[in-house]
Order: sequence, then C-alpha cells, then structure tokens
Amino acid sequence: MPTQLQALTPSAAPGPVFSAITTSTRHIYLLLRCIGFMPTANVSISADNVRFSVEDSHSMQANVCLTPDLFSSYNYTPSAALHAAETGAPPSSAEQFNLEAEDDGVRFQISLSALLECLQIFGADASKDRQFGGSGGSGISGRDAAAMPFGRPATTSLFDANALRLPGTCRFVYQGPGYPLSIILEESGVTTTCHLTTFITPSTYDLIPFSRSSMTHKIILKAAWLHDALSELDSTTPETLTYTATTTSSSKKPHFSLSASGILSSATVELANNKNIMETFSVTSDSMHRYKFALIRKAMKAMSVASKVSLRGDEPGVLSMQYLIEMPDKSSAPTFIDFRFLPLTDEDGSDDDGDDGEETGGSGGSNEEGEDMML
Amino acid sequence: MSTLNITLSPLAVDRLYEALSCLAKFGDYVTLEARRNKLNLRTLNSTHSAHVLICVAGDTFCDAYNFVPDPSKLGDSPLFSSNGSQSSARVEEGAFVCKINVKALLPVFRGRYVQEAVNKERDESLVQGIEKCEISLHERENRVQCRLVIKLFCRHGVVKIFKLQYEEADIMYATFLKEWGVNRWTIRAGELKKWMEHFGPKAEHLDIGSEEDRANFTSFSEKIVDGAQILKHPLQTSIELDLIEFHEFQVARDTHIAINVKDFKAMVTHAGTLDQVQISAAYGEAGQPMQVTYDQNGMFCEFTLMTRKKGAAGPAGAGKAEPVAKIVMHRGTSAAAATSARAGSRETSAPPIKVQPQSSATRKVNTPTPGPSAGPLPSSASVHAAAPSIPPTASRAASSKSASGSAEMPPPPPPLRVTPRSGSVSAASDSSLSRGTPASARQPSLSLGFKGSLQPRPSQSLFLMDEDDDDDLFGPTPAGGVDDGIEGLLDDLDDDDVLGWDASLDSERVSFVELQERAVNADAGRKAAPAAEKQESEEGSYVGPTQRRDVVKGLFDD
Repeated sequence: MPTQLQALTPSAAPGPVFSAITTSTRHIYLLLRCIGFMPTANVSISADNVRFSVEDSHSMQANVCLTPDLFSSYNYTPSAALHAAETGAPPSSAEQFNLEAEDDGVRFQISLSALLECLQIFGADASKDRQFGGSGGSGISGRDAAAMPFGRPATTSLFDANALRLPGTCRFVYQGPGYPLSIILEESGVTTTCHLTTFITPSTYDLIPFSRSSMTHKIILKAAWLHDALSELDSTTPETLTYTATTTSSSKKPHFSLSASGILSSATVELANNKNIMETFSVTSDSMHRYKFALIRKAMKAMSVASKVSLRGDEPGVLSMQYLIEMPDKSSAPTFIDFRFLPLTDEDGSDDDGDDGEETGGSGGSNEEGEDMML
Repeated sequence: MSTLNITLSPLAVDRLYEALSCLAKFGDYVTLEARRNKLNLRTLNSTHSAHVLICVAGDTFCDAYNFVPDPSKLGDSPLFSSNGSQSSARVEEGAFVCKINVKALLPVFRGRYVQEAVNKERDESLVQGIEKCEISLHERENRVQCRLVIKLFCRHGVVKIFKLQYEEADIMYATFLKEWGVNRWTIRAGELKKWMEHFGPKAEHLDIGSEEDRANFTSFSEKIVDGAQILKHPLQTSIELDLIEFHEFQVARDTHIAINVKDFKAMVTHAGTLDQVQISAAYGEAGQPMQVTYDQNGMFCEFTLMTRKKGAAGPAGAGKAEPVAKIVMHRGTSAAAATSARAGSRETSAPPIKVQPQSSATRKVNTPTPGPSAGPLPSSASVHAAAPSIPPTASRAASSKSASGSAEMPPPPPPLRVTPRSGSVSAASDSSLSRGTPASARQPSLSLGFKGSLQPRPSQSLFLMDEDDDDDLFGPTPAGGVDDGIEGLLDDLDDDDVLGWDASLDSERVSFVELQERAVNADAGRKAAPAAEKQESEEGSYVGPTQRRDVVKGLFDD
C-alpha cells in the first residue's frame, strides 16, 4: 500500500525536480479523464514526458504520456531528483527492476481523482463551466437575460467561461520525493495553489508485458468504429468480449470481429478490411482471445475522443490498444493513450494470471510505441 | 422447421423500432407471429387490460419477406394448448410463434436510420446507420441453439449480427366484437398528440366523453393518501376538442369511457411518429373494450384497451377501468368532463387545461347510495340501480381465494345521473373534503369488495369475450360481502382506489361466485409465471394483489 511520505521539510527543498507551465489545462484534463476510471495513478516523470498509469485488477493498464509540447515550458532536472532520492526516500524496488522504467525517472503515486478535480477548478471541464458560467451569468445579468427574448442562450454564450476567462497560467511543480505535486494557477492576479499528496509507488507495479516479437496482428482503424462496435456489444450487457483476428489469406470472411453474449442475446460485429475503416490491417496468425468486457469498457472514453486506434495482440493474448488523440486547440503533435489488457484464460486453462510477467517486457515506453504506430 | 427471412430497409427498421418501443411501454415481452405474408407483433400488458397488435405486411413493409411454415406443424394443433385452448386453437397452422424480451430487441433496432449525409466527407466518417437489415430464423431440430438472427449491414462492409433468444409462446387474442363499436371517432394522430403532454405523468386514467359539439378528454387519478381520504394527485386535466377536428365522430350522447392514460399516451405517441395517420377508435359502453386502429404503409396497429366499468366511483360515469381484457377492474371515477362553456369555434378547440378538484364532482352527486359519485351516465344508471339492493352474501367464499380479476367485480353502484359538472374549477387542492364523504362511507365496504372482487382468472379469459363480462357489467350482480382481513389487502393495493366499491360488490355477488368457480377450474394446470412478477409492478393499471400469480402466463407456463 502506498505510504504517505512525511518528509515535507521545506528546508531541504533542493529546487524543483520538475516544473512545467501551460496556459490551458483543458487538453491535459481531457487526456487524464480518459484514464480517470481509477482513483489513483502512478506518475513517472522523465525528460521526455510525464506518464500517468492506472491499473485495474492487475489485468489492465492504461497510460497517458504528456509530452513536453503539451506545455509551454517543461523543465526536468534529474540531478535534483537524484539528489533528493539519495537524501530522501529510498528508491522503490519497482524502480530498480522494472525494465520499462526510465532510469532517471522519478516515480510517485497520486490521487487521480483529486488531480482531475483540481483541473476542473481551473476550468478545464467545459461542460461544468457552462453550468457555472450560465448560472453565474444569469445571476449577475438577470435583468438583461429577462429582457431578451432569448436570454438564456445569449447568457450562456456571452458568459461562456472560455470567453470570460482571462489568459492564465498553470504551473505543475514537483520538488522531489516526499513533496507534493503542486498545481498553481495564476489568473488575472488570483493565484490558486493545489498540493496533491504524493505516495510511494508500490513495488508491485509493473507494466503488463507486451511481446512485440510475437505480435500476431496489428490493426489500425478509426476509433469511432471501434467505439460503435463496442457500444453495440455493450447493449447485451456481456461478461466477456471475444476478440478475433484472422489472416486475410484464411478462407473465413471476417478479418476482424468482436463478439459478446449476454443473457438475452449475443452480438457480433464484423469489421471488414475496408479502406474507409482500416488504415492498417496486418495479421500474421489467427488469434482469438477473450477479455473481460468490464475492463474493455473502461477504454471507451478514450475511444470516444480518439481519432484512431491501433490494436495489437501478441502470442499470449495480451491486447494493446493505443489511441491517438488529436489536440483540438493546438496544432501540436497528437498524444497517445495506451491500454493493455490481459486475456481471460480458458476455463480449463492452467494458470489464471500466467500471462502476467511471463514475457519479458517489450522495450520502450508507450510513447515510443505510439510513434511507431504512426509510421 | 419453419423458415423465416425478412429484409428491411433502414427506414423500415426505424419504423419497426418505433413500433417496438411502443410495445415496450405495454409489456416486457413481444410475441412474434410469423405468417405467410405478414409478421404480427403482439404485447399484452401485465394486467391484461391492454393488448397491442402491430402487424407488418410482408410485401409493403418489408423489402423481402419469406416465411415457410414448418411442415410438421401444419395441421397439427399447436404444441401448447393446455391452458389457452381457445386462443391457441386460433393459431394459424404452421404459424411460427415466439416470444422475445423486448429489451433485447430494442437496442438492435435503435438508431439505425440515418438521413443521407449531405456531404461526402461526413458520410465517410459517419459510423451509424445501416444499409440493410436481414432477419432470419435459425431453428433446427436437435439443435440446442435456436436463435432469431438479425444481421445489420452497415457502411463499409461492417456487419453487426445479433442472435436473440426466444421462447415458445402462445398467442393471445383480444376479443373485440363488431357490435361493440357503436361509438366511433377518427382523428388525425398529430392533432391528438399535440395535447397529450398536458396529461401529467401521475395521472392514471383518462375519461373520454363528449357533449354537444365537443369531445372531452379528462385525466384523473384515484390514488389516495394512505389512511386518509385525500387524493394523492388531485389534478384533473381536461382537454376539449371541437368536433371539427375529428374526421368522424359518432358517439352516443353522454357516453363516457375511461382508460389508462399511459396506454393512451403510448398509443398516440406511436401514431404520432407516423406521418399524418388517422386514428380510429371504436368502443361501446364503459366496461367494454375500446379498440383503436391505424395503419400506414404496411404497418397496421390495433390497440384493444379495456375501459373501466361504469358506475365505479367517480364523477363521470366511467367506472372502474377494466382492462381490455377483462382482467382487472379498476375502480374509476372518471371525472366528468368538466366543460367550460366554450365557443364552438375552431380556436376553442385548443383546449385550455382545466384543473378541477375532484371534489366538485362528488359534491354534486345526489347518489343515494354511498357508492361512487354519480357521473353523467344516465343510461347506465338505470341498469345499475337494482344492483345495490342485492344483499351481499357470497362474498366470503370469494374472499378466501385470491382473485385475479377484479374485472369480475360488480360494477359500482349505478351512477345516478347527476347534472354533469359544468364549469371547470380552477385547481383545487382540497380534494380531501369533497372526497371525504363518499370515501368514508364506502371504505369498509370497499375493502370487502376487493377481496371478493379478486378472482383468479385464466389470462385468456380476457380475450375471449365471454358471458362473464357482460354479466358483470349489466347483469344484476348480487355480490358479496366483504370479510375481515380484507383490509390488509388494501394496503398492498396501493394504486387501486379504495373508494366506492361497496355498492357494486353487493350487486355482483352471484355472478361472482360462479366466476370464481370457473376461474378455479381454468386455473388448474397453470403454473406461476416468473415473468408475471416483473410485469406486475410495472403497469400503472394493474391491481397487484388481485391477480394471482398462477393466472399470469409466464415463461414456463406451457
């Protein structure tokens, strides 16, 4: 279990290990919300990115990498981290043994739900904002609204939070192990500071290994289609999802199909290798695996905002989904959210969690893989 | 093995979805009946007071329709005839009948029709919508898996396949004799739909009446607050339509019927989805079913709704609502149509909503009996007048058995014709006052009535028009008394009105016993239906305790 560090001694502050500034928290909020289904997240900060990972039931993981170009300024000072690590908390075993962890990264765990709430305070959530702005606006300008025949829409648009918001800055600061993650928003002279307690990353945290060497298929398709297919299956309230990818050469017609069955009915969605849907479709060997639908369902939020998804499976059946999310407001590079799922083993299968840790981890962080995906 | 293959266009799928969602408002299950040239979808609600038939023509509605009956079944009597001998006997030879949970069907057809994309780009990214829908039946002997398979062919080669489980089923027919349809009117669905929203969600019943040159729709509720004679929702909404709005209107003077307002709304809502369709209603007197039909482009819809028996408590003449099939009786007081004097001009047709305290009606009633307030039902009054005189005798026996069909209950005391309420009253909150008198007088008797009234009835009886119904309504019904212990039942009957039944009970005594015997006999061999349980709680018009579980047809009945 995570242990809260009590070493909050300002005197020892060696200067921030990490600090980043952005003018808008909205895109960060949108990204993190996609993995907001778990209350806590593991954070690892490196020179390349800030990675948020969540894990459910030890059988699924989701990672979001915030790259430096999401921030207007991004500073990572590993020396400070090392210094802090030496003098502060001992390095966790995960840090030492996880092959995929960046050597120089700092890792900690925070409450993701609290982080999301903080970002909402800063107005990242547009829908919440509209409510806020709307009610506030009508309160302030109630007379105007009443006078106008269409006062309500006018009010909401006039007092839309985004329209009213003055440019502000949001700063993320992490001073090192034992310090909270601070989020400081400065907005027209008002400064709001949130300190999120950090926890030691539990040593059991490992990335679900995905073996790229034994990859059986790689499919890149529009995320909307996957979302549509899964919501279709979801209507049957299924327990498990059966995921089938067959090689083009095989006589079977469906190249890629998802099916699920519930109490009243079963449903199957077959996606053909059609250029309008599939961007890449390469299957080296047929595969059919089952996954827990409740876990797959957690990726649906990411699915709904992503533009493309890359699906890959390896021999043991680990499913990797990578979502490409284009930033709406910026012309910056797209961001990736990475999900990994362990398959359900057959009922008569020998080991339930046998896949976990069976393979040596794939190399590289999810960000790299994401970039690969686009090639 | 039967073969069934249907091909539907996206638009037809959308219309099918509308039909199914309408059916879903009545019951949990849809019975599919495939015939050579048409597909019938039926639903019977949990109280058997409403039966909906939506018939889809094989040629005009479907792009392709092919049904080949199972040769082995041809000529054979249907498999399950034990309970519903009459109804099942009417199954056309070879027709394939099955029952599917509507919750499984709805998501399959939801949102399948998407208007043609205007620009190509959008079309490319459009995910929803289908190009074709194929429904086929996968039924094999010696195969465990028999499924109704629905294939949706979407854009870009995406195929969605749904395999639905189905159950063997029996067909229920609602009986509606032509001669009952003495009153009839026809109106454009859109016109009616405009006014439906004015009937609040808590309204239970809808009284339909007419006077002079206008038709009157009044919603009312009879739920009372526990332990007090206060209406829970003392709001009546009255809508008057000028007869000009009707395409046809032939209703006997002062005829009032009352039906479940939710059923009516569901029906009108569905009819409203069809373009410019004309709704035709036919009905007789209160207590006889009302049949509403409309059809368009190969879809024929028929709703058979039981009306409340006349004479039940209520300002208007409409008495208890007896479900279409005569299963459950509701006591209904229909609000007499409150009519404000209005100009007959067309403008007036847009009726203002009037709120009337129910009390107003009751106060005016001169009924000698403690029974229901008399409504403007002169004709019925004479018939029923005798009823109260009959001493309650057999009630005890009746009470001992749980009765399923309150329908059997004798009609409430004859409503004396009282001057119809005129003048709408502005919303009045003090229903308690007005109702207090009648309620208090009746209460004890009422409880009795309930017990006695409840009768186990085979579900099918509803549909078969039988003597019982008529007897109950119009015959002298000496009925029964009520026994102690009945009170307890009342608590359970939350939704039923407690008021105003006593008179009717007495009147129906004799017939009641007979009915009961009959019902019991019919019951033999029936089993509790699990499905029934679920349904019971859903419908507004049900009488929970009155219906025995074994009367309800369920999953494993057959």
